[in-house]
Formats: sequence, C-alpha cells, structure tokens
Amino acid sequence: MKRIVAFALAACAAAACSPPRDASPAAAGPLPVVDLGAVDAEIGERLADMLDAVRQVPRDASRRGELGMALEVNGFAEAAMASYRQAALLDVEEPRWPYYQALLTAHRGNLDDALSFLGRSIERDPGYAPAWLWRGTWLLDLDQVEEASAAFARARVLGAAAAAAAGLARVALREGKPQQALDLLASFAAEERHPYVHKLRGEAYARLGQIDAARAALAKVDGGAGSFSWPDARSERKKRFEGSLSAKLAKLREQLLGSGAAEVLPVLEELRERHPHHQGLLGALGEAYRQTGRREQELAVLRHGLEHHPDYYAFHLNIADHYLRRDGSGDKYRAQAHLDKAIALNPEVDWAHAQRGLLLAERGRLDAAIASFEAALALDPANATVHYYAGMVEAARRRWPEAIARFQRAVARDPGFALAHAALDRALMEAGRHDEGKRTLKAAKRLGALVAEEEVAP
Amino acid sequence: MKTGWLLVGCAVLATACEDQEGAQPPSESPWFEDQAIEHGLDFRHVSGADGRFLLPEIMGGGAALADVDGDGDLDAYLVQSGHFPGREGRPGAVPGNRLYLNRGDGSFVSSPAAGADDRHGYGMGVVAGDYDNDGDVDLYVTNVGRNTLLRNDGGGVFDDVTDFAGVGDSGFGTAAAFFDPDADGDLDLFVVNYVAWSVGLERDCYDYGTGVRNYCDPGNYDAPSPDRLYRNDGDGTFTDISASAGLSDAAGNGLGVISADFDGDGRADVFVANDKTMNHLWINRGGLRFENQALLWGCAMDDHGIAKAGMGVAAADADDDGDVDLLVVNIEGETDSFFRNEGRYFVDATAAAGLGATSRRHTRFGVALADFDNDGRLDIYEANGRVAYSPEPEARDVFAEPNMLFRGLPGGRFDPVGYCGEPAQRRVHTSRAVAVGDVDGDGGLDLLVANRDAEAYLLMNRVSNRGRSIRFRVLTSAGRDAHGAIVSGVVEGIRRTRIVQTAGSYLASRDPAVHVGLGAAARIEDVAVRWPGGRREVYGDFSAAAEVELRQGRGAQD
Repeated sequence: MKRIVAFALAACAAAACSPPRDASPAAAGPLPVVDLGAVDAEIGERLADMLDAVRQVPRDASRRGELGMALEVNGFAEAAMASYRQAALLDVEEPRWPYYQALLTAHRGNLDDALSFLGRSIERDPGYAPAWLWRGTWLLDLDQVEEASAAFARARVLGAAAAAAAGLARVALREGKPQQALDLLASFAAEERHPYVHKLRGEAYARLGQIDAARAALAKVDGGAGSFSWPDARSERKKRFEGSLSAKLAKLREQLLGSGAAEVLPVLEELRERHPHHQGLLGALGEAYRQTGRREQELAVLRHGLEHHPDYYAFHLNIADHYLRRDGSGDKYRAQAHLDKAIALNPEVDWAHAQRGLLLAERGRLDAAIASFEAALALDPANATVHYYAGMVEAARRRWPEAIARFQRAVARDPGFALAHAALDRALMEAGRHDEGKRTLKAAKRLGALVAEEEVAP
Repeated sequence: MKTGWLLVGCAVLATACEDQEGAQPPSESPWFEDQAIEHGLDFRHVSGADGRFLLPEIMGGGAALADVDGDGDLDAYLVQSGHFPGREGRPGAVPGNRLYLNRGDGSFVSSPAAGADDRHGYGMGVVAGDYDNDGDVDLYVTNVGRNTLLRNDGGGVFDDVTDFAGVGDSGFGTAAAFFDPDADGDLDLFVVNYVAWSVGLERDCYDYGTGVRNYCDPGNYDAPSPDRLYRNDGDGTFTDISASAGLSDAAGNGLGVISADFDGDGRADVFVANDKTMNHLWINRGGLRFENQALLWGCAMDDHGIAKAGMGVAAADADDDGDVDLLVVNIEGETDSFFRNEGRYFVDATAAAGLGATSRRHTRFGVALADFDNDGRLDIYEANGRVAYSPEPEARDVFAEPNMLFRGLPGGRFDPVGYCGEPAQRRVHTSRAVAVGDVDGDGGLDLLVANRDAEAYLLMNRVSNRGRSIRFRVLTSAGRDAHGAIVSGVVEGIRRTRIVQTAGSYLASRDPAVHVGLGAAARIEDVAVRWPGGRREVYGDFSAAAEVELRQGRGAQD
C-alpha cells in the first residue's frame, strides 16, 4: 500500500516559478509532499519518522534542514528544496541551508540561482573555502572568467591550495594562457598529481604545440581523470542520511577496498538477514569473508549467490578463484568448470582466460592453453604476465623462436619483469643465440633476479 | 480534495513558466507542432520492459529520415525494440520496424511489404547510405543481437543481405555511420557497440537514492565493448578491418558516432561518444589506419575531467570558422559538451557557448544541430528522457522528460528557448532518437523523434518569420549522397559551412541534403564543395530555392 504524506503546499507556485527570495519565518510553511511508497520501505520509514519530528516542532530549523538532507540523498529533490528553504527562513544565521540549496540548484542546471543561494551562504560564513571553490567552478561554467578567478583566489587564501590552483589553471587555459596554467600546476608535487592535473597539463602542452610533452602528461590520465573534488565537510554530513541498500553497499565496498573487511563484515551479515539473496550484497559479503580468511564461508555465500543468480559470471569467477587457491582432489577441475562457465557468460574478462590457460597448461593441453592466453591478450595486449605464461608453454614445447618472441613481448611491456628476462635468456641459449642470451642474463641480474635454474626451466 | 487541486495547479504553473535562463517571452509562437498522427505516423515503440530491468529496455529506439523510394521526398523509418525471451505471460509478438513512405506533402503511408521490418534482434538504431552505389538508399539497423543490412532494390523494397555482406555484428549495437575514409568512392561502415551484455549477464541494480530496483549503470557491467570498422570491398561484401585499423586499441561504452574531417587533412575521421568511459576520436592516418587522439585533442572528457555519460553527438561548424565542432549530450547533472575546434585541438567551450548550465537538468539522448529558423545559425534540439528512476516524476512515465530547444546566436552561442517555445503541445515522454529533415518541402527543417514506449513525434516546423533557405543535394559522380563532403557558401558576408552526413544524434539517421538558412538574403554566393579526399570544386552563386544538385565533377576546379 502506498503511503503518501501530503500536505497543502500553499507556497509552491512561488517556490517553483520565482527566483529565490527571503521571507519571514512565519512563512516557513507546511511539510513538503513526499510519496513514501515510491522508495525502499526502510527509507520510507526513516523519512516518515523525520517528517513526524518536524511536525512536532515545526519551527525547528535544524529538523527542517536535516529533513531536507535526508530527502535529497534519497531522491526527493523538489521536496528537499522546499525543506532547505524553510530551514533557511527559520534560521537566518546558519550557512548550511542555503549552501545545500545552492548545490542542489546547480545540479538541476540553474547556476544563476545556485550562485544566489551560495552568496547567502557565503554572507553567513565567508571563511568556508569549498563555497568559494563552487563559486569559481559555476562562474566558469557561466563563462564569467574574471569573477571565477577571484573566487578561486579567495579559496586559495582560505587554505584550499590544490583545488584553487587547479581552478586557476582552468581559468588560465580559458584565457588562452597555457604557460601560466603550467606554472600554476607546477605547484603540485609529481607524486601528488591527480589525473585531472595531468589532463590540464596535457591540454596546456597541446595548446603550446608541445605534442610530445602533451602525450606524456596525458598518458598518466589513463582510464579517465575523474572529477577533481575537494574536501567538503558540509556535503559529507548528508551521507549519514543515505538509507538505500545500494548506497550502503557502495560505502561498504569502499571500506572493503581500503582493507576494512573486519569492520565491514558484521554490517554485511546484518544486511544479509534482511536481503538474503541480493546479488551485490552476496558478492560483497563473499569478498569480506575472503579478506578475513574465512574461505569456507566465502564459498558458501558464493554458492548461495549462484543458486539465485545462476548466470552471474562474477560468482563463477570468484568460486573459480577459491578453488584455484586450494589444493584438494578435483579442485582444479572445479575451478576450470567455473572459469568455463564465467567465460561463456562474459568472454571479456582477461583474468578468466589467463587462469584457464594455466590450468590447461598444467594438464598438458598446450594448444588449448595458448588459445586461452591469446584470448586474454586480445583483451589486454599489454599484460606482460600472460605473454610470459604463453612463452613458458612454447618453451615447454621447445618451440624456441615462438618462446623467445613471447618473452620479448613480456619484457618489452614490463622491463622490470625479472623472471621473463631469465626465461628469455634460457630460451635464447636453447636456440643457440648465446650472445643475445648473455646480454639478457645481464639485464636480469641488473634487476636483481636471482633466479634459480629450475624456476625458469620449461 | 482541495489539497489535490492545489498540487495540480502547482504542476501546471511550473510547466507553463519553467524559469529557463534567457527564455523567450511567452508571446513567441511555438517552433514545432507535433503532427505525427495527422500525418499518418502511427508507430508506437515497445521497450518490452517487464520488470526484469534489462539494460536495453531503457536505451531504444531509433529513427531515420531518408528518401528510400527515390521520389525526392523524405520517408520515415522507425526502429522497434520488442521483448527479450524468458518472461512468461508477456504480450504477444510486437510488430517490427516500420517504414512510412512520404506522399510528397509530408504525410505518410505505412509500407508494410517493404521487407524492412527486421526481426533479427532487439532493435536499437539505424543509419542510411547507398553502400552499393546503385543510386538508392540502403539501411543498416543496429540491434542487441545481429545487426542487419537492408539492401534497397530501388523502389523502397528491401532485402536482408547481412550474411552475404558480412556485417552482422552480434554485440549490443547502438550507433553506426556510413562514411568513406579511404576516399575510394564506396561507403565503409563504422559500428558502435555499447557493453558486452546478454540477458544472462543482467544484474540486480538499485537506485542509489531511493533504493528501488532500477536499470544498471553501464559501469556495473565493467564490459566496454569494441567497435567495428567494415571496409566496403566494392562487390556487395565488407571485410572487418577493426584490428588492422587500430580500433582494438580502445574500447568504450559506445552510444553515439559521427564522422567528419576534424583535422582538415581531407580524410574522414570518427568521433565516438562513450557512456562513462572516455570518448574516442579516431584520427584517420590514411591507409585505413586510425589513431585514437581524443585525449590529445581534448575531447575524451570534459573540462572538469569527467568521462561523461556521452550519448548523442552532432558535428558541424557551429561558430562559422570553417572547421568542424562537436556537441555531445550527456546525463542529468552533467552539462552538454561543446568542443570547439581550434585546428589542432578542441577547447571545451561549453560555458562560452552558453550551455554550461541549462543543459544539466535532463538526460539528453538525441541531438540535432540544425538551422530551424533559417537565420543562418545552427540551433540545437535535444531529445530527453531519464535512465534512472525518479520518485518525483514529470509524467506517468517516470523516465519522461521534456525536450529542449536552444536558439543559435552569433559567435557560436546558444540560448535556451525553453519549453514554452516548443512544441505547440508540450510533450513529455522518454525521448531517444531524433532525425532531421524537411519532410514537407516547405523550407523548414522538421524533426522525427522516437519515444520509448510511446508514439513517435513528427515535429513540423512552425517558426514564425522563418528566413529563406536553400537545400543542396550533394552527389558523387556515381550519383549517391557524398557522405563527408563539405559544402560552404557566403551569405551576407559570412561563410557558412555544412557537412553531408546521415549519422549522428543518437540511434538516428538524418537527411544528408545540406540545408542552409539564408535569413533575409536572397542568395548564397561562392558555393564550393570539398569532396572526400580533399579535392575542391566551385559551383558559383545560387538563389534561395527548394533544391539544388551539386554533382561531383560538374563544378569548376579550385
């Protein structure tokens, strides 16, 4: 049954169609209209509680504002705007409410109004650097370059050095001053450079006609620069109102990546009680068990996942990985069966092809192993390890020219790959190319590869 | 009950006075009027959505305007999606793609026996081009599943020649482009794939905010898909040269494609708009080899460093400086990306073009960069519709959003006309493809818009005080539309440059004829064509007219 909390929204016409304006606290007004049946039940309950809390103390700006935060992060942008507006009217000192109005309005494409809200927030707290960074960013998006420059400069004075420098570099590029942009970006230590900084440097070099330097900078952008964000404590505070399982899972996955499995595990187990078959949750739980060394529990969770999502390739991959790490009777065959299934479902995972190749090589099916390695390399031609694996198979077949070519590709892609250097040396020797072999051996030794003969013996 | 009326009143008011930056006064008459039903277009798209939230359900459908029966007017082709197998109790079979023939006055009649219905997959998009140089327009349909090449027998009747031609890529096909990168006189084919996807690979995804079941973001699959380049072998068959051409160097979640000569070297390059992976700019190095230079050229991502959710794309000389600029449209919260060509690189000039704010509000798929008011400057139409669930929907269809219109201003700037200016009846659906062409031959560009799970729009141009115009049919010596040819001419002291192209937008194919708005001018002067390969011919001056043919070899050598 849908639960709709609807109250008269007497001021809605003005709110929807007029630019932002102040009004008296008495006009803070009724609660916004929210269809709680349109969201996850857990979120709906929480929002209903917050609506009740506001109803009990309708002139409490904090409650109104926090209701707005909860509404916003759970998908109710219009209702959130109404709540922020009411909070801002009830507490004319608090900078957060117009700040949140500004961010939400900007997201919805009205930067002029967003800047107006932001101006009010800055009036209330001129020392909050992220507000100036947003101001600079939005002014740039409105092509108001001089004002943007001033905003970024203000943010720099307030301590947001890196983000302000990036903003000022954008200003310089916009003004056709690529060298000035490079000078500003030079303040970033090389190891601290965000990919976005490399992107800006690459653009600056390209505009200066320094194409090689541009290519070198842009090569570091790799898979994408990503937004150059800055710490924003006010926005962070909204996250505690995130209520959906997806939001929670995203946060928990971040913690998992940060080696926080022990802390995450009990939370995931509790969530599983309410969502026992959720694909993403089971995947995350399996990963948490793996990271905490509970391999049998990991396997049980993954099997449960497969029961309910039999065609989800990642469960097959993770089960295969589980068996690959065991050494019991039949484990390798089980691993290969799951790899085969995963590849059939999604042939685009190079790791699966490579592992399948290794298993096939172990079983002496060398042609099939080479085919699997080729499939992996078609997806990631730069994978030195797979070139090395393929070389080892060719060496096992005593096909030295092919092995040499494979090992050469491995070392070309990873010059620090000592095992590949040593294997290349061995293959060259076997092929009678002793001088080349000696040179390669020297390279391997320079890399500190104290490689025992048997380690590289095909 | 009173509360309910108040709420309804608010919604109507918000609609009527949507506070768009720079919106025109309400007195301005609408630019377009939806005349689909009146003009005989009764196509209704079916996504087949049945609660499984299968990714393709939110991505279709496609549309084309092309003269398939060779009678001089534009016919309409609409791509159907349908149902995926596996869900019991679903409705019966859905009609396939539909071809509608133009009666000559902009009204259409369905042509069900044309053999163009293509039921080989879940339909996505379409592109038109005369690949066999026989003087009639063929169609290439992209599907989730095998794509289909439909060969035109000359009278608007089609044969499925996919297997013979060897172009039946079976991925998640989205955009495609016919172009001539080796300038050998026949059209090669670039095919864009989205992600490696199948029903079995579908995942359970939930909206981050509301927690309700939703379509997955492409990143959930982590399976960017490689695109394909098919070389036309001149005998009705194609060869997949993707690897030797260099395309295997990069994969992305491709949704939009357009070909143009971005670096001005006379060779056709390709831009691919990718969804949350970096865009690709395939610069033609000659010998059918391409190099992805999107990062170096500054169009891989936007000014903020974000690989945006690239969907539709348009390429044109928007600032009248003679080179080809790019417009890529993106998802809600992200601006359009207007990449201004500076000869050796692009500048993200979205803000300078006036698109840095208003465009963020909606999720834009189809896009048309065309001169609707015939003032000589290109305008923008954007076909919108969400991919994410909203608990605060604009219509019964929770994905529906209003489409947007921007008027071109001098200097390559755009100003939103907003919703109040178009169309006459405010339509809110989940729009996808948009194809451009003058379907009634009145000198104003019309639009065919495909809507997910709804009827298509046929938006007839109703701009008041529209300027004069001229329409050039630019043909190779063999008599087919010269994809990639660049037409330029001087109107009141400004050289306007236009490209012959059918691909672009999203899942759409436009009229390849070149339309130039003349404003109040009576003529266009010093008309020249640069043909694929770089040769230039001059054709002289022309008065405003319905249609002028510019055939290769009949101009004066420049």
